[in-house]
Amino acid sequence: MKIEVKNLYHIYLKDTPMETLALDNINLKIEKNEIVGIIGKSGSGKSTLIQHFNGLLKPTKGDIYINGQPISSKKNMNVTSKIGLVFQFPEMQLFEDSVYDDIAFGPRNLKWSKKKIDEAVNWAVDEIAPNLKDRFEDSPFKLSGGEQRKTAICGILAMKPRMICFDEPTAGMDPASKKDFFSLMCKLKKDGIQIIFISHNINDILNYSDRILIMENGLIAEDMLKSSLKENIEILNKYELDLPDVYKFSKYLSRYLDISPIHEEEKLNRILDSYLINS
Amino acid sequence: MIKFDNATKIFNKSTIGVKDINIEINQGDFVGVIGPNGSGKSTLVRLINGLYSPSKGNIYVDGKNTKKEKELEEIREKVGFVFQNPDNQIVATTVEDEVAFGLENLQLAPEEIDKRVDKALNYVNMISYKRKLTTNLSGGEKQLISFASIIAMETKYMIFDEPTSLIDKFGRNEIIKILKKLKKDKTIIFVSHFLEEIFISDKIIVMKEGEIEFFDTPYNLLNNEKILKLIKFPLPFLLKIVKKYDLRPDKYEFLHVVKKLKEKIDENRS
Repeated sequence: MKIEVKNLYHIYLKDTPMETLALDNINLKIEKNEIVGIIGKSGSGKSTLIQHFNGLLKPTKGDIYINGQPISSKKNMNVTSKIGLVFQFPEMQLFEDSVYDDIAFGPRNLKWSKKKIDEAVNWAVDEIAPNLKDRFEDSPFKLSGGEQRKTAICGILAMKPRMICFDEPTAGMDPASKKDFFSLMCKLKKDGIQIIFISHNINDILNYSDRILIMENGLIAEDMLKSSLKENIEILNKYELDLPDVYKFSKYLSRYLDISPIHEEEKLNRILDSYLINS
Repeated sequence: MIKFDNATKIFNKSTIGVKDINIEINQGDFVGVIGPNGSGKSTLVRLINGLYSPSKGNIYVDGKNTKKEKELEEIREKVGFVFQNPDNQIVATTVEDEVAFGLENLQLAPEEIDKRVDKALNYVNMISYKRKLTTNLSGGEKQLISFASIIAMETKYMIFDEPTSLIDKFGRNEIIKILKKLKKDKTIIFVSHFLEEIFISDKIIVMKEGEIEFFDTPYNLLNNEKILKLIKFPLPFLLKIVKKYDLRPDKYEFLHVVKKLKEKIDENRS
């Protein structure tokens, strides 16, 4: 699936005193099966951008093209259903009486057969949280926060999207669930699903993305491959973003020891061991 | 003082929220609460201001029982609460009205309200947002407004239920700074998923399946293999370093840890 964003502007509350320019001429092409990570301060336009991909928000100016077709054209309505959007706190959108019905809600709207819906629901649950199968009959509101989140993600996956945009998917997750989530995300990529994810955590962005967009004031300020961001990591300071942990620590340490700032944790450990254990 | 006296909360007759809780939180304490999803952290803190009533046992705030309706009113004036998702508690259209909302309910004089709103917004560095619409704020900005609303109420106890989960790291640092400032004269209970954050607390509660498994200092948590294994939380990079080289930094922050490490290396050389 090819996505192209051309001269996209979005203004909230246009022509009112509260008018806010949220996206300021965005141009972007996503063509490969890569994980695109988006980072930027609160209010930089990250969520606004991805909410355009499935037509949830309409551009104030400009357009999005999916496989060459503008999203604004009615012919493309069914294409947008191939792009899943998982919001911040997706569990807030659960509303059905049972876990099963909630996951089946999207596929039912796509007017699939009962059998196809059942297969899709079971497949999605197998992929994400097999133990939810024991809770199919339960109300989703009886689940814990983390399980509710997984239920909501299953609902998106069951629609068999070609691309999924995750908006801060791990907010509020404990570290173990977070690790599970990221391995799921990598698995989805291997299954051929394109992934865009927004995160506030530079360590997660560097660990899991192939390509990184840094947003600031409604603009894509940087669009880099992971390797080039690592080489130019100090650029994060310009956008008031935190440096990755290992780099930051080794940078502080370089004031005292004869080392250069590095990214690799194992390498840093070996250096420290040489000072403290092997001497 | 907040006292849990054998408190249990059961939902829908069978699901255990928290079980047999017996703890005391003293005035001036800064207590962090951590544990996996569904371990009962939110239930625990919601029992304190009576959002949930215990199915068994009692919770007392300064000797008042949350089960008694009249006493609960007094408790709620003393206990401020910030939720995980600020959308659940923002009610007003503008930032200014949002921060003033609780104060109006306290029937304070308009001049006093104005004064407290400005003070609280300055406290969280959001004074320039005073006249903005709350609907236009990002998640992180909304959370800072929720903080200001509670700060303006000047409550003795403050509960923060995962206040940072929506905020970027830069904003999180701001929040942590604010929490540290509040630490000086408030009693704070702070729920977080971030081990590195919870280490700003004086004492840490670790929860698992509705029970309190650990209630002790951050240093002792770091050296308690059993508990760390139980909650399956991988240590963040900085804490791994602290643990591995048995450092005792004044604060669990990068600069402090690097300084201790340097001292240790110097000792080793001499």
